[in-house]
Amino acid sequence: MNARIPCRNEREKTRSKWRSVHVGALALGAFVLGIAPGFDSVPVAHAAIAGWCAASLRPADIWNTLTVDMSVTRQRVTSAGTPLGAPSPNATYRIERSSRSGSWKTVVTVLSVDRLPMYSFSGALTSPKPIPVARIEDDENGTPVRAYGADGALITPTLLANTSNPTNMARSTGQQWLDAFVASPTRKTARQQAFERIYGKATKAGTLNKYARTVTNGSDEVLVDPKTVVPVEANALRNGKRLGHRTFAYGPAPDSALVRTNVHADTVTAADTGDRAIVDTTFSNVCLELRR
Amino acid sequence: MHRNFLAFGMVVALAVPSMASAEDRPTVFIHGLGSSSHTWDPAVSDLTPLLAIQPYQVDLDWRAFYETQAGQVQQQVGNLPSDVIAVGHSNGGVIARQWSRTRDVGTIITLGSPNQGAPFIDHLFEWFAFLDNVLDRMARISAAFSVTNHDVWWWLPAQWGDRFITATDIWNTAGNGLISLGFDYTLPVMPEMRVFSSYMQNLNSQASRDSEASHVGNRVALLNVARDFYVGGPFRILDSGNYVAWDNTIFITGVALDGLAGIIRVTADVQDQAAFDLADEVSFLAEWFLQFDEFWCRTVSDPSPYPIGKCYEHDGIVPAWSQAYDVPRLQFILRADGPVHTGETADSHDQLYQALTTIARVAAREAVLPPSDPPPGSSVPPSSSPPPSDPPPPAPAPTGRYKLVNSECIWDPYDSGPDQCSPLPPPGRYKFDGAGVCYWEPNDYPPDQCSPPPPPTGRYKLDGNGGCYWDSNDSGPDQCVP
Repeated sequence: MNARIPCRNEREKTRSKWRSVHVGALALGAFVLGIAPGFDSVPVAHAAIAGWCAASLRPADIWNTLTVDMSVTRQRVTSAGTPLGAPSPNATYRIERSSRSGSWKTVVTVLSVDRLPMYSFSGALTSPKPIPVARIEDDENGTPVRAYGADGALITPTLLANTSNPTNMARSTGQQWLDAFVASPTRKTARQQAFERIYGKATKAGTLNKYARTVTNGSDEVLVDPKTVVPVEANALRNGKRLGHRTFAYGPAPDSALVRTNVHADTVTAADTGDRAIVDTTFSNVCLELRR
Repeated sequence: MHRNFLAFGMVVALAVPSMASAEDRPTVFIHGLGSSSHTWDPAVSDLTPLLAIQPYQVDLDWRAFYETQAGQVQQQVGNLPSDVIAVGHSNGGVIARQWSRTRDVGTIITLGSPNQGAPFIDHLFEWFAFLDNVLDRMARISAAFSVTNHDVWWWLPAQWGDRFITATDIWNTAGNGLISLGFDYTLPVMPEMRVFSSYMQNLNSQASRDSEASHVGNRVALLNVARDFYVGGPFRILDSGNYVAWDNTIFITGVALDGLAGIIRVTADVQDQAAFDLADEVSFLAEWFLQFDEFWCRTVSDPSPYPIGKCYEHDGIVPAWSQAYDVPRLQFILRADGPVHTGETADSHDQLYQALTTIARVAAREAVLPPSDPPPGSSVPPSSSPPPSDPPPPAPAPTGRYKLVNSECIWDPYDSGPDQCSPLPPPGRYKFDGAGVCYWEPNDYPPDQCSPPPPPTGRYKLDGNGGCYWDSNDSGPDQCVP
């Protein structure tokens, strides 16, 4: 209770010190693992784990690149479930987050974005060409994202606004951010404490632990699996109505961990009509690599 | 009234082109919505030296009811003989048809006309609601961000800041641009332009079409599908020289926002539900961009409700199916890679030439008068044809066309002209019967008027004993979570 919270500068210094340690450990680890020059990754046998690529490293290994496929489906419906508006195109992307020099960068590759069929004058079915964007790169330093077409060429000109303000502040450092995506059994207690910091002690709801807190005009609750301490459902209630409902699904990950495989969100977008927006995000083909 | 006097003066001036002769066929060029007689200047300049036509370009109050505008045509050129050719672009084609209901017209040529109505008008309010919805989605992102942990997510506003500016640009340009084209529902002609308006139903009733077919000697509809008609949404017509840049911008923004939502969902701690709320809102904004083209295509090409509507070929504003009417009795010439709607009068000379010569049977000028200064106020330029001493060009080889022979559509390689029929069978469509029931009509053309009820999607329901079960024969929101 009496522990002093370090100020930001102190945290930065500490972080910087640990970053140096990490870099040293990374180099040592690479040496121990025997990475030969020219090899892009260290193969590790995880082929048996569904949803993980065969050559993936373990989260606890030294890695510098996460790739994961993400499928997004969306729908807008009335309170009775009747579709609203034009259908939303299903989209599948490959997200790659990599760090070569300490700071992370993101590349989003378009695997597919549906374009709905079109009809000729006589009713014949035709298919439009694919969307113009094949890849987007974000250096995560405040500079504008770059977009590339299917031919690999930078897409220009565009009418994108550009008020960029480059910064040296990294959004995240180290590898710890992966803990959010891959829930390790060794961090169960830490996750429980994190829930309790926000919601207080859990109560029982069937076989699940229920964390709840009161907010303006309502409450938020999260149902957590007590064995793994990962959320399986979250609800937002306002003025007696459930305005937000989200469920999570997980798959196996190396070292008995769990990886987030699906987030299903059902959100009321108009409290008066009850119209809802539904979005399903599915993650698959997770891969951790050490790339040169 | 003042406007009519001015228009009358212009008609009189244009009625005496330098190369007019007694055999020239009077040809009335009628403009459409948000336009004027000058939209026909390039076509008249190109065609008058080549064809034996005497052009008349009328100026109409394009905001008025179709009937009123047809009355203005009659007022300005009502003294022309019964073999007059009426060439109408956009609403001008409908006005030509309306004009033919009150007097004899020899030939009607419609170009990019909403002969069966303009679905855009049916969807006008829904389209602007979709457009405005982007502001709501941005506001929801801001609201969701306000309750997140700013120590963790401090970098996010910089990520979507430019996306917000781009979205606002699109919202502003698309909204104001369409209004500048004349799409204002308070104008009298607007309700008449709706596909399901009583005016259109009356104009296209079997009796009206039979009457038009029997009274008008020749009719042809020039159909135009704009190249890349599905690219760039309304910017295909609002900024036709720059629509690819708009389309790139729209999709880059959508994909970038989807990627951002994905990164939040990957990196958000399990207890950080506010971050997941934020990711959902970012994803919903991405959806708006990724849907943009499809929404626009449905808006302008299918009057059906959005969820069951489809995207049909169009010229930026008017779908090809509506540019045709009375098919297969009425002939049409289809151009599949043309300009956008607003460029049709300046860039359809080949189609107009073909229609005037093969349908209206206008003769080509064999000898062209030497260039002379046009009279003041006239838009007819000097001739650009070869001198009279040159031999006439050889007759073009037959290009072939589909013809109706004994009720069958066959390809005749030794003939030329517009197709009389389509080799494809009617694709069929869903229609309402007299009792309001949706049924499948195989011998008709799109668009669907309705959609059969979708199959049940299933949902979780309460069984009365506190249990939660899956009912595959029901639809709607889940009543419980298993």
